[in-house]
Amino acid sequence: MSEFVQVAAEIAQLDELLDKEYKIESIIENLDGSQVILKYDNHQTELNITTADARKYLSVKLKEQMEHNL
Amino acid sequence: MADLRINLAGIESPNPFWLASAPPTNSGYQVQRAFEAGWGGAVWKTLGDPILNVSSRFAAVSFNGQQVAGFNNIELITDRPLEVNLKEIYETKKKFPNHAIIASLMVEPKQEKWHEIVKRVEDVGVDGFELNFGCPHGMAERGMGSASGQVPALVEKQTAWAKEVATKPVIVKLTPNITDITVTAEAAVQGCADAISMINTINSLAGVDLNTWNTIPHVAGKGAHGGYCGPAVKPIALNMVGECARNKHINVPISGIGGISSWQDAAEFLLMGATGVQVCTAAMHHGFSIVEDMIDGLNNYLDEKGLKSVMDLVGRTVPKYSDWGNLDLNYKIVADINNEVCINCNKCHIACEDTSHQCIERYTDHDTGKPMLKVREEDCVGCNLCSIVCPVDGAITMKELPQTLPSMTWNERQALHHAFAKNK
Repeated sequence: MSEFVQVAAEIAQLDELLDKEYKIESIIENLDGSQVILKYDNHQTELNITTADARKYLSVKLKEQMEHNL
Repeated sequence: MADLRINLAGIESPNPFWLASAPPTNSGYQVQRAFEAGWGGAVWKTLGDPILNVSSRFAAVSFNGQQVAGFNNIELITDRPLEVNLKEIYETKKKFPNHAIIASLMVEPKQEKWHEIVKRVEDVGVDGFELNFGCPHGMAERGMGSASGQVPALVEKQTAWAKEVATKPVIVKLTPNITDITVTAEAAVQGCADAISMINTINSLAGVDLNTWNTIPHVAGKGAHGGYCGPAVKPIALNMVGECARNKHINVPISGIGGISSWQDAAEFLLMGATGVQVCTAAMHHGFSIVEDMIDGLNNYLDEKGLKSVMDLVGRTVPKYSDWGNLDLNYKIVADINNEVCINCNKCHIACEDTSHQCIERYTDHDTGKPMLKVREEDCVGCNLCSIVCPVDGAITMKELPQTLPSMTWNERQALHHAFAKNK
């Protein structure tokens, strides 16, 4: 499978949650990539961002969230 | 015509091309011929207690038909008495007063030894000294050359001893046989060096004879490691020059050495922060006359760039040289294949498929029935491998993609994630 398909899928998953006003609550980076916990009201969900390009995208989104919270 | 004159720590020279301390600068006859050919300066073959040499001494590494891609030597410093060298230096300087003559020196790491040789050599009118803390073979076994050049405290101390008596500029020549050359460069600065030069040769063995099982070169069936130089070492030297040039603690001029064979190589060293360059292997391979092309080429280049002086070129690339952590993670280039030029050798496809990211596809053009190649841009990581292996100029170019994400370096990313975790 083209890695880009996986990148696109991971970005789409993240975007979908952020569009639903989920916020990034924590990011744990380990051997398997980035384990991201997102929260919205009482809802919590976890994403595994494994591809390099999606992890870059995650950092951009984290930066946007932090700037928005300032 | 641009002004090619340089001033390296007070040493003036009509152009930036010096011969490095090596066999080409062994005698007055050779140095005078070099100056007549156009070289701006010469670093005299290292003076010290005259040594004994062996035979044979040199070996070359050829690669894919390119002769002398690398060059290995086990020759030591001068084997001639100091007085003979001094007489020839004096005569040469008298004949060529506007050319730079720098005396390379190597003695035991003792204060009185440095004082003695500096005083004796300075009397004959050299323009400067170059302390040889770099030769990796032979002399290093006796505690000199790279053996002392690998110990920062010894570099500092010996530089200071030379400086105690020298009235002319002192250049410290550094060994690349060390993990981080900026450490010894800083030590030289601490010892009050007026300039540094790099690189000396790299520990090497040119090869092994598969018939006799002797090393190459060998001396009556025995071998010993030598010093490697020539075009193959240029990238190593260029990085070391750049690392020193961008280090704020190393605030002295740099004389660049290592595989310089053309005006383009020289220009690259100047851009990376060298004030002048030293050449050896190319002169040994092609003779002194190569300097004519170097001078013409550099002159034309400076004119094209609208620069009046070669000194205007010095260090222009240094601000662009940084740590990996300061590179933009979101900058993206991809390969672009021009099928009009492509000869369909498939080298790019094979390289990408076997050893990179499997993003070059082969297909048959519906209209012409011709085999074609195309890049799946979304999977291309911009590694450059296909353009490197492509044998046809212009068949593969790397093109910048419009940036879809804001710039973010690794260091910025890590700081961001760290701040986020801390606030939580």
